[in-house]
Amino acid sequence: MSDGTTTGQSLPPVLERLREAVPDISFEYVPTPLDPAVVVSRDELLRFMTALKEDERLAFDYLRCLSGVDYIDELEVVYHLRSFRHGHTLAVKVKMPADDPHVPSVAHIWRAADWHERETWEMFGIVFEGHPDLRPLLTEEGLGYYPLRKSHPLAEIEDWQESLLERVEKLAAAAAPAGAPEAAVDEKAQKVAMAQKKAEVIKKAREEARAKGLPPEEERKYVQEAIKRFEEEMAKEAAAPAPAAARPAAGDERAQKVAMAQKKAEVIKKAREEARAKGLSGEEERQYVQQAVKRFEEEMAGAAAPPAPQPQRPAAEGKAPLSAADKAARIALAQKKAEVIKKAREEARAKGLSGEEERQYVQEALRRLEQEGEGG
Amino acid sequence: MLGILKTIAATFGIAARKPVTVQYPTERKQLPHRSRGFPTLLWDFEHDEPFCTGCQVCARYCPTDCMTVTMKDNPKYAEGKSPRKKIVDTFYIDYARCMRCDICVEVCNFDAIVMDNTWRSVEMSRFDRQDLVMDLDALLRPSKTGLLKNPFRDPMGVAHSGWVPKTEGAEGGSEEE
Amino acid sequence: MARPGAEHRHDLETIDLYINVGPQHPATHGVFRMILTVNGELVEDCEPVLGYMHRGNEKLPENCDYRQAIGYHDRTDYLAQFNTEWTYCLAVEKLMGLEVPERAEYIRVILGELNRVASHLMWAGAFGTDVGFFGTPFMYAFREREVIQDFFEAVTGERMMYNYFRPGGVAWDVPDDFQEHARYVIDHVRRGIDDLDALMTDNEVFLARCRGLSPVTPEQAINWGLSGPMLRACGVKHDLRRAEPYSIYDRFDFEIPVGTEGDVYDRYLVRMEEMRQSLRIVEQALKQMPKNGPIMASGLKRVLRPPPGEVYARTESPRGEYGVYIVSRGGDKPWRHKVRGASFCNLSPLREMVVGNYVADAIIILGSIDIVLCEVDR
Repeated sequence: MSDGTTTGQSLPPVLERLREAVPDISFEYVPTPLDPAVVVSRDELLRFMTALKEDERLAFDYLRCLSGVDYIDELEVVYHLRSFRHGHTLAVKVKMPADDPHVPSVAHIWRAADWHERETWEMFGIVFEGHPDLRPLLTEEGLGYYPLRKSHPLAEIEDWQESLLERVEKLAAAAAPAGAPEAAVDEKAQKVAMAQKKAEVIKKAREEARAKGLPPEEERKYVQEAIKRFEEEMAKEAAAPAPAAARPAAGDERAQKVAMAQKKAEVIKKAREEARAKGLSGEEERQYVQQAVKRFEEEMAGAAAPPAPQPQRPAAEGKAPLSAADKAARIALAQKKAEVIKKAREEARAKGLSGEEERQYVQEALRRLEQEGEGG
Repeated sequence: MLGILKTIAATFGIAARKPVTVQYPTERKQLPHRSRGFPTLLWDFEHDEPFCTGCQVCARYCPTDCMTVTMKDNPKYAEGKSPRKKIVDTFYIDYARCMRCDICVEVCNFDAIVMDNTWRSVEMSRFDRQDLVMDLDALLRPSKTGLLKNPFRDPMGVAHSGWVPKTEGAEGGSEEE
Repeated sequence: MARPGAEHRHDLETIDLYINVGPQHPATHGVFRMILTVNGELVEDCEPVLGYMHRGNEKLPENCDYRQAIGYHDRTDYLAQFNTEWTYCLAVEKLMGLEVPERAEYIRVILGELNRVASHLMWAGAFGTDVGFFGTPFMYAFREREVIQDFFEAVTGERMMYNYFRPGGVAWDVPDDFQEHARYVIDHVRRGIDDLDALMTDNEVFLARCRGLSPVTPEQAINWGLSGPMLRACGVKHDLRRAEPYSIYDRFDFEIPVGTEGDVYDRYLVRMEEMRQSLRIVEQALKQMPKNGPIMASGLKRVLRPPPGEVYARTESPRGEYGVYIVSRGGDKPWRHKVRGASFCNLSPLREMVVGNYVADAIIILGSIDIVLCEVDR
């Protein structure tokens, strides 16, 4: 850390004033495209900030932004300040090691820092000492992780996407005549597996090339050769078993699906009219319609493919509506669970346990309940 | 009191104006030419195949990862009927994930994908989320059947930045930057 | 801040009552919850609960490349999308040292200012409903906003999530009838603002409910970090378009309306006047705008890779100072991407503003802040 005097020749005027106002605090100047930034040490931050606000020459009365930054090995808090009286701006940065994240709070200097600090605390786990009310602001309490840290991964959405596509294909396959569907799904899975293998080959080749220290052009050639070798191998393998059957025309599938949906809609309409004619109540009417739909689906399943199409069964089962008894049992279970949770929480509070301990206590109680349920 | 009278006068004055509302399902507002519906693929009538070669540029630049594309060798290339070595094999767009940002259109090397500017792609309500996953057939239908008469092709925001799209010697699989 | 009636509150033995306003409540303009502790009709404590709309809008762009992130900014402040895109693009341009072509700057100014009008119209309509005009100003405001929305749709192709500004310019050129269409919009909207004015400004009921409600002093406002119309209503003549001119705002002649009391009525007046000033800027920009020319900085790569560095870019969005703090470490993705939502900061002193007022007035005060919950929670 160097003193403001030693860095650069043409310092912004605000830094000159800063040096006059706080001569005993050393800071490092970092130019950024809009605001001059200074880095101060954590121990001197509070004194520095107070001087920025109080000193007549600086008079930074407006805290416009406060952000946390995660540099993996160290954390940083950046304060963006503005002075209404002088019209100058400044960014103050303070760094801290990642395993000891705390800085003094400035909420008593600028009230605007209140929510910013709460947010930075919950997102980065930086503790602001002396903050009047350091609770999470946007997330729930007791989250246990800090979402904006680099160690917290962004959820992978690829898997979800793949599974949805598989389901779509299965549905299309179920609507199509038997025989072809399995092949289509297999083909897809095969392709995915193939692509993964290929990616591995590429990665490996690239690493090898880098290890050898090849220039980029040769590296690319090396990788391409590897891909070629891989594809030739794959072609040899693929030649042995018979190629997968071609998929039926997609237009037919869709037309069939549409026809099916129309039939179903008719069944529902008819059932509803019948129910109304009988003068059933709302709930009864719904059940009546559901039964009709179930009957229709069973009929369709019977008519669609006598040689037992495998992928259709689980889909039909999964979609079947819950019976009334099942539902009642589930509701009863949920109520029981809620009671247990409530009781355990009260017990934990009575014992004066901390938030984390309380959660564990409740979870244990739940586990006990589940074991009992399995036993009985 | 004066203010309230003014308010009443304003209300009556404005009530006399012509209404601006449109009775939606029966009559529809005209969509502007550059209206951005959902992305669809274009059909190359000259060679009777899609423009898309399945190069996956759009899938890689999609901010929401809503696309899944695979390519295959073009059988027509071997017969000499088409300039495309590779051609799209499967193409899925999950319209439920798509945020209509137009980035796929901008990055496409072959001008193969456009944003549908017809009412068809605005009225996309479905009973099941899975019905919003469009396959290649559904994506090509508007262009193939002529429903999509005049797509807005100007965008190419990246092209403005000095980057020239490759149209000649359309070779699929330009994966590397 | 004691209101009439406060002195009677110990005549009877009473207990505090908790009222949950929200999370699903029309008066909270989104998913937001106020836990009000009331003594009779008076609010004794208020605890805002937020985060229902938190979608990780700071984390997502850290995993996107620089162009992909623009779409996420549309969804941060969904009433001032051009202004948010603008701030983000400005940040990337400052990082890369890009020069934006003049024509693109004019397009940005025109769209950004009309967006401000659309946002304020939306606010005025919703605020009218909060105060008790049952739906009429809402309909008037939406009728005019629709005209602006149609204009945006003709230019960008989208009604709400435009994704039109790019680092270095705008995505594609404006249509041929841009000038005529914009002039039509200005004439139309000006008349619409006059309608709203006639309906609300002098209305005695409106005055009785808004005037003198929750006054904020300039010192308080600055310390609380307020910005935009909230700050100007307190009498602080601060507008980033003037104070720290970005883009080409130094070329236009416009007034900065300021209030005197800092109460709810002043916030209303400031916003109404701001709409007229914005239309003035648009008129000037249409006159000065070059007929043709580039709309995108030249020589940009398909993937933007700003040099290592950091920047805090801010613009005057309809709600106040919208800031984007980007730390780049040289890759194609921002290392840190922070959004300073204007309504996040404007909402933070809600407790101070609401306590001591009636419950019905708390709704008006909340409405006068002009919150967009997507921007508060990000």
